[in-house]
Amino acid sequence: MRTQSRREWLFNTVYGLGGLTLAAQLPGGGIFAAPALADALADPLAPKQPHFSPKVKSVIWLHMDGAPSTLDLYDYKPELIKLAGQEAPASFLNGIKTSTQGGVGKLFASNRSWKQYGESGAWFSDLLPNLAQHADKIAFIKSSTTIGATHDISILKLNTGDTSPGRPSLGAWVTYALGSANPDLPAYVVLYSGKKEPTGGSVNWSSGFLPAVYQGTAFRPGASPILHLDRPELIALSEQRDGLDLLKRLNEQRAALHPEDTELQARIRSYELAYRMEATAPEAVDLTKETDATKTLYGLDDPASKDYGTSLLRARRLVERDVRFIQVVSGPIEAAGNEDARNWDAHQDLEKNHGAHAKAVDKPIAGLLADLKARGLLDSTLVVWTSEFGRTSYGQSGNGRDHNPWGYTQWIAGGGVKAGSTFGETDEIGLQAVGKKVDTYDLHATVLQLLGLDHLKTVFLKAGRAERPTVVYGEVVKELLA
Amino acid sequence: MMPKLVIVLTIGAAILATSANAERRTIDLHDYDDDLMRDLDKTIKYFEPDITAKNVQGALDDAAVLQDGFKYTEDYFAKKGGADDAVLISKEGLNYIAAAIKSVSANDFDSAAEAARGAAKTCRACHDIYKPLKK
Repeated sequence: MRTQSRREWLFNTVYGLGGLTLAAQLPGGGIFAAPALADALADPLAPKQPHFSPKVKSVIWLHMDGAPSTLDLYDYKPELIKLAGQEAPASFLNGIKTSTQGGVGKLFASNRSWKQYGESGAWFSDLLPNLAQHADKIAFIKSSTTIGATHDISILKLNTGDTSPGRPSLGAWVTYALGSANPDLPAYVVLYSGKKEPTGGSVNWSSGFLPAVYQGTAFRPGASPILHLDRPELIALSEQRDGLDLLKRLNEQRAALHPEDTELQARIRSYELAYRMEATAPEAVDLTKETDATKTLYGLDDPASKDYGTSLLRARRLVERDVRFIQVVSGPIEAAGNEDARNWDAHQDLEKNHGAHAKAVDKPIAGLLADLKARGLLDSTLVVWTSEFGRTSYGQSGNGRDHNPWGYTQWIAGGGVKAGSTFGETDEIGLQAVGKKVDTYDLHATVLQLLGLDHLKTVFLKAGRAERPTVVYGEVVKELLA
Repeated sequence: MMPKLVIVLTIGAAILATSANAERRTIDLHDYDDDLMRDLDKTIKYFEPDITAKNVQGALDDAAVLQDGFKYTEDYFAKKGGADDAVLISKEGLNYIAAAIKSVSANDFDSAAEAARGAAKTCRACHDIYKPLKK
């Protein structure tokens, strides 16, 4: 009698009665809805129906890498200014473990001026003069919390919900549940600026235990978004097509023997997608046809904001091409006086660090919101401004701030969002969230809701067990919805 | 909703409300079966999703693991002594699991999911007292 391998056993378990019954009811259940390889290969990226009418079609997920001090951008705290230079009162430190790097320094206020903007009266510091003009488009979440006090772990939590690798990123869940709306481009694209991949790397756009076809595709900065995408000079188009056809046949034969190998299935699709993308991807990120006015709107005329502005203009072009989820990671900046390029991680010299980073992102993000609005895309797009955590009210190194997972600000804007609103707050010195807190799972649940997906019903069967993007956590923050 | 489930949930809610205000206590737990607790932690995260997804077999398999775990925990704390609240919470966990199984068997997945959420809360209620969790 032939014994089953562990893989075969798991595969058969997944395709067992429970799996089939379940799959028929799931958005994104394509792969598991039919056990035959031919059907599984039919198209895991085919568009799928959401649970209910979506408010948005695409998400632009703006990750401010390194964790900005939202205390110096949005969360105006007169009490902190008043108490600056003193020890943090013990009452503010209750319930938190503060010894992340350098212990608790004296309360620190940076040299900011603050003003209220728009009809909503949202506070912005002088670091974000352009974004402030869009106050009434934004719904702030001022009681954000997370877990972890190191970047890699909290970035993972931001993108996947968990602090250990292995779970799918939010973009992968979205792609799994809704499929692709453009067969010629990846449904999930990652954009970044700077010279190297973002902190934490590709695990932050991984498909985790979902089939590999749902992972994000990182577009490199520069004219060629994907390495070696161009057809080699000495190979004719027909030769390339013949070669790909042969490769496809061989891969499909192999895949028929190993239907559980989602990596191979993903590879078969990626060869074909890459072939189509030879034309579509460079065009999607080619800004030569954009007007000078548009480029200026995104800050491409200023060396300080050119890189990030380029990423955001590309993001808008991808939204126009129906890409579902665009994850944009801000890059490190070589600020004057800094030997190494740094991200927002201002353990020292916050003034210089945040001055440079705010200048890099302020005009581009304001430009993105204005441009989406002008083109009628803001109603069908969700823009999420987020980071792995915030920064402490107490200082570090004299003029910097430490990591703060206990209370910080994020915001969302776009379709279905209660524009010009603020949800939650931090304490009087901006150290800890008070009242109802918003965890990464809550944010994910809310994003999924706006895409027409019930986070409790977005399910993938893994070895006979139901996995969801928010596990058993997460609540839609209804107060953020219009 | 079935009257029995209402009673279970009401009693459970009362216990949870009590435990929420309970003081944290230090007790030597070194002889608790950590592997079992890890299994419970993993399984409780599948239980309600399996029910919501109407994955009947998965949910019943989860329930079996959880029943074993809650029973072990009840016996463990009963034997340890001085932890009556933990014994009570374990019993409530068992009640929730039993209610969930009954509802799943009757294809009443909404009630089953509610009971599963109650079971998850009993886990947290006990941890809040004996070993606080971050999430």
